[in-house]
Amino acid sequence: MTDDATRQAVLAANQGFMEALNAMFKGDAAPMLDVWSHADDVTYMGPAREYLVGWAAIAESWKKQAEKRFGGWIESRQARAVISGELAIVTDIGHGDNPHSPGGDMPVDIRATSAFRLEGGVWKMIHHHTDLLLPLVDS
Amino acid sequence: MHLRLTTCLIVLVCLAVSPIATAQSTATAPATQEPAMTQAVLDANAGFYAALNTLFTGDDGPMADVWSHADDVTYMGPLGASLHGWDQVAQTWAEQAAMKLGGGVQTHDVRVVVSAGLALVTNIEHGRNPHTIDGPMDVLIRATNVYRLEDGAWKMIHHHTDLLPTLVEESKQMQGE
Repeated sequence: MTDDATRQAVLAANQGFMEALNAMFKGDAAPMLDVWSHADDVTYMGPAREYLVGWAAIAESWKKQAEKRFGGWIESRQARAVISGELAIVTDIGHGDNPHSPGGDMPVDIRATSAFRLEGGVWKMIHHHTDLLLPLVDS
Repeated sequence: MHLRLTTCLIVLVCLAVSPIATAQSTATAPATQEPAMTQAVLDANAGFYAALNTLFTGDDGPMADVWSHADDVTYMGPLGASLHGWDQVAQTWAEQAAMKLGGGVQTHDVRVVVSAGLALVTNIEHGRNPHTIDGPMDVLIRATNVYRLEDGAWKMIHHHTDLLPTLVEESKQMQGE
């Protein structure tokens, strides 16, 4: 059984990722670099249809996304966590809006799966998968 | 250290070039510590895709067997929606079996992270379904699969794929929307 404190810690890590996304939309990638594990086995399936493996490729992706300054916001709408030992899965719906996407204003309402791993006592993101955002796929 | 308790393995099942952009760190992968457990998870993942290919013929029996029937399972498949609990997940598989899409999919770029009792698998699904409402449909989507060890067997507890717009529309038509 997962105790409430562990569940709250995992959900707080997921919320930290959402806050890092909102900072990234303003051009600041630093919080995003902090919430992720920097291990070689992390994976990222983002809204532009990429499938990246390893922290080096994923860090570069977040820095490039931050440079685009999409603006706007996103929030968690339906976070659910399953936890076992040092691994946690969070499923969620991301809802928001990015006014400065490549196609102009882009409403966001996408499904998301995130995985977190306990590293040095902190839940770090090791995987993120979202549905596609077609303006980003085509850009 | 997490690596003492967590078995990590990156498995590159197929290096086929695909339009999905992929990139991999040049750094070495973490050492494999429990290959038997990782292999068991890979076997479970292969079992899921065998069940999926059977489902395309109209038979959802094997799919019911590879999934956990717990109340906390979740499904975010190619038809859209976010389902929660085995009752909802079983219902969508029955609906998809009734589509009798035919054909099949295989996996590329399979990667696994295993911990005590929980496993994360990511891969590409690549294939073709000849019998959709729009005719033959090529499939090339990303998938995240999660398995949990239940009574000694790795059971699927979550599946997330990119959307397939043709199936989103077909599902709406089946539901009379």
